[in-house]
Amino acid sequence: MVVFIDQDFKCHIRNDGTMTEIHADFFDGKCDAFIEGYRFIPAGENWTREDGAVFHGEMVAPWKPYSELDAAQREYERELAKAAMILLGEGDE
Amino acid sequence: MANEYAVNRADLVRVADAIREKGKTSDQLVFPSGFVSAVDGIKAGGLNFEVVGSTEQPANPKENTIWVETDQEITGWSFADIEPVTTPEEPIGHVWFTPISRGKQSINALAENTIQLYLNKVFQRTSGEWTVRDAMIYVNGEWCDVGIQWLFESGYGENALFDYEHEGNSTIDVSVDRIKTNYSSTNNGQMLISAEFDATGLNTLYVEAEVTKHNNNTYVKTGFAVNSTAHAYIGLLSCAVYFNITENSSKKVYTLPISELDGIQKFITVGLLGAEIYNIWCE
Repeated sequence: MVVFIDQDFKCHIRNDGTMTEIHADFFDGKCDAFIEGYRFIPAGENWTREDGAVFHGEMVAPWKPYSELDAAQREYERELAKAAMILLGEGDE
Repeated sequence: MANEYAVNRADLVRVADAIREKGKTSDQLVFPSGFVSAVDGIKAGGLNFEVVGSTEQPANPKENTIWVETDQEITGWSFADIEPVTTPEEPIGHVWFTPISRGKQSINALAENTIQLYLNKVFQRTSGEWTVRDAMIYVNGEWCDVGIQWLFESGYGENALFDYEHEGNSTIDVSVDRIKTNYSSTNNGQMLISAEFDATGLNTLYVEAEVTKHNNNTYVKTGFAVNSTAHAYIGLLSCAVYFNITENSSKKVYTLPISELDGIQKFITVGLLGAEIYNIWCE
């Protein structure tokens, strides 16, 4: 999946013209809210956390509380399942 | 000078409260003998913690209690910045604490001149050797694990704090010193070492390993990951954090940021991987 990262390696769904395009299987099937709560550090790059710890790419890690991202993804999947049921004529609109 | 004085009850209560606070007690004090006894019992400066040993967590602990999980009576204790020698000289039951310069939580060791004491490993003399013990400290009204949270430590593998699970078409060899993984097939597949740990309040996962066989196949990625689900089968796409290892390396420390994870997590390695893992810990 194609996403865009800013200078702080935070992921975005849309490029504001300053971001870098990356391809990451990790985000396949993930909703926008989930993706935009993550950092993607490309191989060969380093990210320094505010406490001074340095992390090396290639790495994917949340910068928002994971519980929030997980909740958003589960809601997204529930809506997908609901839409599928409607298409199959087995659910209510 | 008169032999008897009238004292305001409120003033007596104030004095008793002051004695109780200094003596770290909530007992009712009877004037005058109880006051005298309580004052005599106040430690002048000195230590601000106590060490207790039991198999069950103490129900009503005081602040700065160090609880050592043991069924062996504690006969004494000591602190040293090195681990105890192989042949103990201390009596059976003696507990040896090894403080560290930093850790997850500390105790306030001295009442007046505060020294924050971070504890790491805890040993107790059993019949002829030192045995590693689990320990917790009671700080700010709750129990906390001591020091660095080890998931696997070279030399103490048999006393590792986690139980591992293994799945997939691969071999895994766990000894005291390291975990050796090897996936011999050239086909894609999953190989997991999963260990549950509570990531709440932890910031970084460290893995010291030598990677002898990596695979950069686009469908299967090698790496260390932390999974937020409780699934027995854990694929890369269900992980919360992952680090993709793209080349073999000699022994080095890999780090993953886990500060945004709370609750029970699972450390795993995923995919085609050959490695020798020496230490896994969290801070």
